[in-house]
Amino acid sequence: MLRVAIVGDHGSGKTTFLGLLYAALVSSGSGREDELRFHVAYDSLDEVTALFQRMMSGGFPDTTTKEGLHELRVELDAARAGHGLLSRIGSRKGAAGPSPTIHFSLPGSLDEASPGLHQGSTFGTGKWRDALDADVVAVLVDSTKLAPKGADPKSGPARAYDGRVEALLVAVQRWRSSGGRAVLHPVFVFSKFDSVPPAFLEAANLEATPPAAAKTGPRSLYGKVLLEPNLPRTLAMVRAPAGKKLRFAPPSYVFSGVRTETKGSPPHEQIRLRRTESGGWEPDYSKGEYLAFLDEVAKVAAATKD
Amino acid sequence: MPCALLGDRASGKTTFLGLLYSAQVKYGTGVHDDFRFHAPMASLNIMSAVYEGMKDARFPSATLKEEITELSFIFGYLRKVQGKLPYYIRAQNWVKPFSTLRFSAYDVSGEDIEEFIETGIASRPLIQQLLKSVVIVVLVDCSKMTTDIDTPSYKKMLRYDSTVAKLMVAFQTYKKQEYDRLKDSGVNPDPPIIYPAFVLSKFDTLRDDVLARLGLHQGFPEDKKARREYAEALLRVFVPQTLSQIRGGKVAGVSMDKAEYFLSWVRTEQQEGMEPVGQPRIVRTGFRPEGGGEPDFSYDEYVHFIEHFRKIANKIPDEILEAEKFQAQSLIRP
Repeated sequence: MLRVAIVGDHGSGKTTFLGLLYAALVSSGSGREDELRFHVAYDSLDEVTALFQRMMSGGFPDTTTKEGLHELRVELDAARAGHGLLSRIGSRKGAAGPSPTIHFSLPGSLDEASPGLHQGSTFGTGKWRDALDADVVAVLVDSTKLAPKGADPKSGPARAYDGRVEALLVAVQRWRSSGGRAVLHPVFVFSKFDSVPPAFLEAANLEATPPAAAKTGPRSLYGKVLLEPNLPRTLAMVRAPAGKKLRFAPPSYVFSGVRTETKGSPPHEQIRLRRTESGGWEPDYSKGEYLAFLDEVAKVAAATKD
Repeated sequence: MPCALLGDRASGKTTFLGLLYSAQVKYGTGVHDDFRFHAPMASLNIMSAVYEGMKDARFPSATLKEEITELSFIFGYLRKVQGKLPYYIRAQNWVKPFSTLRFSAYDVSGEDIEEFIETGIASRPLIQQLLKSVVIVVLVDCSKMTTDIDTPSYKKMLRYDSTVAKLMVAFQTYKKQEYDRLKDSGVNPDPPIIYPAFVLSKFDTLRDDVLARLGLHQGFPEDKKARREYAEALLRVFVPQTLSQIRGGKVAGVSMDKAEYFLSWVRTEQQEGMEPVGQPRIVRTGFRPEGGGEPDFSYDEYVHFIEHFRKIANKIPDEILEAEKFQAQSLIRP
């Protein structure tokens, strides 16, 4: 089983990210082409279907949903070909047998975690065990809080968050010093990326849209340019030479966005829905990015031995 | 063979069963005599009351619906070889002339299902029976199919999709656990399989603008592949989680790939230029040599449905039939 921990501060979009990931799975899993099949574990379903219902009606996750949703366990099909994701798992299946199970977990909000964890301690970490044992750690970076290129990294709005992520990675290193998986794959998820003003990207000499997932080099460069002024300590940690036990894989990047609109009385922000090719509705989100993320996770699953 | 019939409130479950019974009566009294059915007294009482009401142009009443908890029929299909044998050989009873199937439909309250979904424990015997189902018939109410996202129907369909998807996974989980248990105890069972059947109920109420939006023409195709594509185009939009979890059954080790699609409609009286007042009345066919005074409904689809079970009867693993036989024997023991 591949463990993916989704971490971020309160309000950074962790639950929305997981909900949209499920929406991408449902959309592809019910598609006419029938190129992706997945099975959700029974004990993960209740909360995620409630979240799906809510998002398909234009609602963002409410407090009850956020408190109830802690995980999503998915088995991905190994037999279907034609999709990057599946062909990779498929090649693994021949050697290893059953379809890989991917366990996405939401251990909580980093800013609400125990003070010990903020100092890199593994003592009394409770539900953060999922993050300490993870194969992949998806670090949510709230794009609305990004500091521009050239800003002082010590005073940016993401400074405190940088410290918390760094401390988490230190805790993971300590935890793994006595055993466990040797590699940790960091994925930086820029949430609310559609909210970044074009002028901000222009100032950083970046295109308005990130390079496609297939262009790994330019995409990594794009991500690094955004991250360097905001999470310098975290980046330095990830780039540092491998320790005795734990090695960080080269980071990958996801640019997540979901369009919103103001509706209702009193006016409140809702998810904008768009028409699908099949005539139905879905949230207006960066679906390609989510499928690319699944592809990335599948790649890791194919390379990871149980 | 238990068969679960799943449907939302007012999705047409009792009407479906009434029309199925009506089709059984008509098909079972045809000149070919290759399909017979038997119903236990309790089921027969209810179904004949529903049938009588329909012949009197009435839809099933709420009181009748409340009486239903379990309805069962035994379908008997004449074995092909047996039908061709001379009479004196058939009379020896060397071979059972009919292959039989027990079609049981359960009406389980939403609370029971919710309890099982929440706790994962099937405490009520009815839920346990339900989970043993090999065929799952899902009613999808076409009158609730709308692409207008601000309507209650849209939200009801979203909720129904979540409920059915959860139930599908519950069935898969149960079957897989049973399979693993048998395997661990040294038995060599066949890989688990569930036959889903989708019934697009109230198909005549499916709105033209919905069909146009989905790029579908009016009328259900005849060809098997085209039927599947047509039905899946509707499911993809209105119950996508259910469709994806049916496809994903195989990933969990429980094949649900052999889904079949049927439609159900019953014609109701329309007053020219007037809105119907009260409960609509069923249109009945005229009397003809082959019968008459019947509700005007999608009879061919129901025959198709009955015949679908003939195919399943030939595919059901022996251990299920043996288990049923054993269960029946244990019931008649003093």
